[in-house]
Amino acid sequence: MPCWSCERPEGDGAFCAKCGVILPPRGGRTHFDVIGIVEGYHLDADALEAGYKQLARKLHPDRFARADARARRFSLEHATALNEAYRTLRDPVRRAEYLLRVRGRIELDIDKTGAEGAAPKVDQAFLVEMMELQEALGEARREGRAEEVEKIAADIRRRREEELHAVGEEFASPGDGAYQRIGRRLAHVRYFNRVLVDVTGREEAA
Amino acid sequence: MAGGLLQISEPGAARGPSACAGRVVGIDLGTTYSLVATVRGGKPECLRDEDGRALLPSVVRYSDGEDVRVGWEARALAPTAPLDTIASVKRFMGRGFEDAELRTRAGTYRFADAEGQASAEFISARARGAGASEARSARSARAPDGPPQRIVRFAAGGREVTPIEVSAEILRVLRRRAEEQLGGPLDGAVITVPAYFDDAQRQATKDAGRLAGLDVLRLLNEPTAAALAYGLDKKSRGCFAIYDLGGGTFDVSILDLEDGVFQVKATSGDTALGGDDVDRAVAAFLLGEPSDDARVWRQALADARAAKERLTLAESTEAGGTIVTRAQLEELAAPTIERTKGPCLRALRDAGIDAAALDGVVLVGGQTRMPAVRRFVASIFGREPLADLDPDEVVALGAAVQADMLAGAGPRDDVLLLDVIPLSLGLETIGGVVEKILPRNSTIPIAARQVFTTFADRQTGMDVHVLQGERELVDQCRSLARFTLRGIPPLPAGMGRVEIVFQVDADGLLTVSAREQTTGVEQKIEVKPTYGLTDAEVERMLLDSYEHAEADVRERMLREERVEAEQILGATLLALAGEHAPLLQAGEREAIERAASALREAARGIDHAKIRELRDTLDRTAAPWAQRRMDAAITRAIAGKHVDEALR
Repeated sequence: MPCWSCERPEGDGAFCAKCGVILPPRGGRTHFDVIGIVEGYHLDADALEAGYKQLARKLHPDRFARADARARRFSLEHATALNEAYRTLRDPVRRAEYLLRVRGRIELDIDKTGAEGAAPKVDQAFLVEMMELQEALGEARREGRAEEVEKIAADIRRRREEELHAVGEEFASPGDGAYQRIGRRLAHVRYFNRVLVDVTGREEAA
Repeated sequence: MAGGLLQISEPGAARGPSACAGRVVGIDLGTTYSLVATVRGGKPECLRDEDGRALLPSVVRYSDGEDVRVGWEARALAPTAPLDTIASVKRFMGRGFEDAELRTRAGTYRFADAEGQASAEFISARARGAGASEARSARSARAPDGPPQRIVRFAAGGREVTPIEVSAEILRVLRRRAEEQLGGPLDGAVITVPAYFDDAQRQATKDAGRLAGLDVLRLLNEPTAAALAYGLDKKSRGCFAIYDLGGGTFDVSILDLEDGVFQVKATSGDTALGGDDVDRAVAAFLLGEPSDDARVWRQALADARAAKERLTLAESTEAGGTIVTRAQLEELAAPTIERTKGPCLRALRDAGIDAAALDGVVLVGGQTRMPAVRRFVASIFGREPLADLDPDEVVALGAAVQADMLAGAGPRDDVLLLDVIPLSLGLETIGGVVEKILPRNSTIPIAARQVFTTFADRQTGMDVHVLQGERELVDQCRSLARFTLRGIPPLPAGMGRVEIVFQVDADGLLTVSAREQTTGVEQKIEVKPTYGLTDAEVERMLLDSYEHAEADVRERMLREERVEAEQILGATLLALAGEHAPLLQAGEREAIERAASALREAARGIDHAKIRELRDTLDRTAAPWAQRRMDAAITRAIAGKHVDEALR
């Protein structure tokens, strides 16, 4: 494609290979492509950090504060995509949910439960258990049993880590129905997080 | 050939700083004080007034007529006309009338006077009047259940002013100070805001900048600015906490510094907590109780502030006829200081770091001079805080560094700030629950999209209610904007899909757009914060300010031209009486004297263009003579030496 500024072939980077102006971000790139790291649930955290910072340094709008309006807009688009990619990939849960969407074509958003591509339904038994846990937590908190609150929280944290570990295994060698199982595990993680937010919220207020 | 005369007759006279590319400044628009700084010779420095003071009290006094006083004078006059004097205006930036009224009733807010009931009622009446005229606006009509959105207005000096206009007065004084010292109009400014400022408060700050005739390059979070001031001086790397307790706001941020990239990991704080609270506690102690008399109260606040400052070093002092000890001050300040603990712990938790893993704690804000604050900070973070830079100046210095970077002037192109949004952004969903679209502490610029489906058959519209805050329910969060997306094709429930996109730019300002997906029909709606000014208000104020700005520019140019004219006239006179007079050719002296007298006449007038024209005429008339004097000077210089030596 010809460069918007010098009209020569632009090459395939974020900047024109000929004149060096910033180019509009290409469509169809995954978050992994944006940062330039290998796709996968298990990733090299140092490579993610280094790749992100190196690109942020080049693409951030601050670098284009005095540039042409078009260059400023492209920089904003690049930096936005970069931050979105970084935010998604550095957090294991968001990373897993993203991979599930890209590879398994499954969306976890509760809003679309029942629609095509929605997350598999969580077991009734699990939901009942979560409600009971929340009640137990509430009671322990009301009665000021801090040790018990912490014990329940620690238990939830452990189970969350187990689910995420299993998610990692499934992504590494996905068998039949792997993405359905991953979806269910990630839905569990969401419930665990919700209960944990309640706990940490209280800690903060205390 | 302009200046030819000067060069010869006054070889030592400097003509002021030359016009450099990019006159940019950093401005700390504070609750109690405001400052302006710039980078000179690679180092940031605060610009001082003629009395050598960097601080400008953020106080504006309006008198009848056009008279507006800003700063020290306004503060000194405050007790004589508290109703016409507006202090701590920052607390009202981007705030609706309801917020202000609530806070006043809670007794934690100071209005135009000091917490006087009369003024609160006065403002209340004015605000109601203003609200009536706005009730017709489409925005209010669309939000019948939400709080009516009206901007706070102060009634002072026989007029009504918004917090944005008051802030613009402060910014104008700083702009003038900078332009005088930097030798010309500013090309841009970075203005700092508390990290915890919400969208409406940011927008209001930007509006104030525009109103003051500034090109606002960036709104920068105060703690980030402080880190920037420190980081560049020390070439640090590691993880730092910035504890910023100013006059009216508290901020705490956790920053990661590495390879010139400042990454904000988390930020937290309280927009209505600061040294002013301590002042009020001390004032109430001095009087025995808070006073209803605005003058008495204002005086007590001034006494309290002065006593507090003296007690940083002294063990006891006298204030308003009462002896106050440092121990008493610390007891009175304890509740305020204690309230900073929660945000500190929250920031650490959000950043996912233990206090023990920090590499340093930086103090910002005048209130951190207090020994009790330093001890408290040391106890929370388990280490002695850094306070190498003046805690009052550090934010402005950092803003200047950022402005310099944005202007692309400095050698610090490898330094970058990665800032975050301080509060989560979300949408109202069924049952008045807020669904977070962008969680707090997301690095900006950032965008997020969420798809919503229709919930009724043949639903053709969808209400979009944008909220900011951490709480679960709509009425616990701040309403930023509300609009209705129309034109959804009539489909069975659940089939219509609307994609909502939140985009936050590098200033932390939000745009929300909604797109109907099934048909590909796109409706993009830009959302402006509801507590900002209406477009009509901005337009009116901008028009006003352009008129003022033009007058300002004319005034400045006139002053500059007069100075130039005086210089050239003085130099000409000197030269005509000097040793080079014999080099004048027939008629030349008369021509020069005629030109000089015409210029002198014009300099008494107010037409700067005329002065400039006549100055050029004088320059041109004297140019041949100046050339001959130059030649003579060179000939003489060479005469005393060997040629090769002279040319070396």
